[in-house]
Amino acid sequence: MDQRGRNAAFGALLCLCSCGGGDRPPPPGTLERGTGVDSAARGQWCDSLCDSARRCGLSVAAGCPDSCWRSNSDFFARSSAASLEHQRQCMDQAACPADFEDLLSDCWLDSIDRLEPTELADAQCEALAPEFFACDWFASRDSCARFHANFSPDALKEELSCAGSSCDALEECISKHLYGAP
Amino acid sequence: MKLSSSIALARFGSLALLAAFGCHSDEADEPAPYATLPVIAGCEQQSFEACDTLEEECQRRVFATMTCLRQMPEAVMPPVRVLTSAEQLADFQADATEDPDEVKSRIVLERALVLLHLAQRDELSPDNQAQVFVDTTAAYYSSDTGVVTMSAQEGDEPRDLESDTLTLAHEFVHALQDQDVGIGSVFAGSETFDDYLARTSLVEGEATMQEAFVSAAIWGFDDNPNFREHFTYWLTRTDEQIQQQSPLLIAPRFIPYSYGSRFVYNVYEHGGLEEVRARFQEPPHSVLPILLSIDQLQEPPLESFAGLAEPALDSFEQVVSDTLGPWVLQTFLQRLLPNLPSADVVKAWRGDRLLVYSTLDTGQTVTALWTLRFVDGAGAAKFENDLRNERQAFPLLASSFISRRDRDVTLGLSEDSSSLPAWSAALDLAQQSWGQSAPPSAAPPPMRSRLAQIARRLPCR
Repeated sequence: MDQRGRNAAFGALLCLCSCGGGDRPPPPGTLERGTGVDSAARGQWCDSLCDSARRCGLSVAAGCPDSCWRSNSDFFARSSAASLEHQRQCMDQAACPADFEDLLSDCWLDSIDRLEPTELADAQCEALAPEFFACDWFASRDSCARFHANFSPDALKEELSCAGSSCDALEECISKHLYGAP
Repeated sequence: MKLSSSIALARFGSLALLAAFGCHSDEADEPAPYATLPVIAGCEQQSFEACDTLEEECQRRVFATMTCLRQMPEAVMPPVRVLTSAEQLADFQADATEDPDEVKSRIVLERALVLLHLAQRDELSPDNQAQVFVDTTAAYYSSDTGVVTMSAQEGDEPRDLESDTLTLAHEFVHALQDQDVGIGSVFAGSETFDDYLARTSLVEGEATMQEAFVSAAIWGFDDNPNFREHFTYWLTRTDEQIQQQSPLLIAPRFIPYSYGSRFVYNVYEHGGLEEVRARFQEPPHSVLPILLSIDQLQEPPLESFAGLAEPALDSFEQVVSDTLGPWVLQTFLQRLLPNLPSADVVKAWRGDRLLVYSTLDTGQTVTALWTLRFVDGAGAAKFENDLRNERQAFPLLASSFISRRDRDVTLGLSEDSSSLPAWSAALDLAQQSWGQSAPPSAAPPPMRSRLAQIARRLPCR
């Protein structure tokens, strides 16, 4: 089963409001920027998002990168550094779509298609194999591993609580832990 | 049962340590996790790894695995070719020519199905069926040519070698079926759409089941996973667009690969591969047992309308006679009468006959009589009452009549509603000779299902 359709709306979960058309200053507060590789990937992702928005003709406020950090902290916490890096490169190279949010969702889809599997992602597929296989969630184990390479170790750990879910409950459980759906 | 995560992580850890010291792990000493997977027993030494299906070596490995699983060691690997979707479409359209009688019967049938809200105009044309086939098919096997055709990569999406490997495994099962019994012979005597769909469910159901066995090994299962749910759960995710398409068009795309594979898996669990292969000599003739066999085989006797008098009316000729079957009935009810418990109706279904008539010469008026037979009079009475109780929601009412005789309920529809009383009377007259017990379906007459004829022009997916 193709996972793409189920993730098509994922990009829309990202908050763009602070990047395009905002004259408002960034809200006060301390930014949680993460550490090391994560921090660098998040910073570059935000830079690319703001640059792409500017390149595509959106009105971009000077504080766009900071606003981006704040608005997408949940998304960053659930994303792997490799996925953010892949999306960054994709955003830098992509043509401007009619609806700018499509750029995010397209680059997200591109990342779940192309990101190389990691050992952690592969282990996740092994741990949840009974559920993924029974519910026919992925076209292949390889596509499962590529998909899960996009998520952070913390998000993957939370997803493990979906083990034992019925097929009807699985989608909701995974959406909650990987996508931050309510 | 899967290898536990802790064991798997421990193995990753030890491998990392070996790598740090420049050593090589000797994976050959360690049995693959699928070594104990029951559904591949006896074939553990075969390859269960994804490979590049465009390479001949990969094709040979996959074929060797499938000959082992289907216990046909002497089988010959079929040629494999790659075609673009445009090339496939051109192939099918060249084969889809119709003579004037075939065109007429298809158009009349389609108009009857439009009356029943079971199709839209031109939806069942050979061209549209070929287009839908090409749009939704990754590969197919032709029993006419004995060749496996894989769709060429189009677009810039990366290839999923594992999916490609499973697809090729599926098509090789069809080649093995063909060498075993001849796929053409499996469909010989298939006279109705329901019969065609049931036999397709056997052919595609086995291929889907064997594909799932390979997939389970690739996933690394060491015990059988939940195959039944794997076969059917994806149906719940079919999108709205598909749900609006004609059930006659979508049934061959969905039923054989879902309920069909679950049915064949039940046969497999009952009597192993031997029983699965034996069923090709005695295929199911309706999707009823395929829908009913949830976790074990359930095959109630079916009843044929063959030999029962058909209503007739002056100036009309009968153009089509067919059995649509319980899945089409269920879809019909779900779409038109969503409040009706359609699953109960399907369980009580034992046969149906759709007769389609058009006025002679002009072909301007089409009438459809769809008679449904139920397991007992109570089931038929309940269905009739349900239809009448849902009168307000029943969009066909203005151009239809409903009648019941014993276990049979007939829905009559016409493009000319003024002719309905005459059709109702003609039906009464014909039914007077039917008697209470239906004759068993004996020697099948030649195929007369126009729907099956159109669908059969396309090869096994």
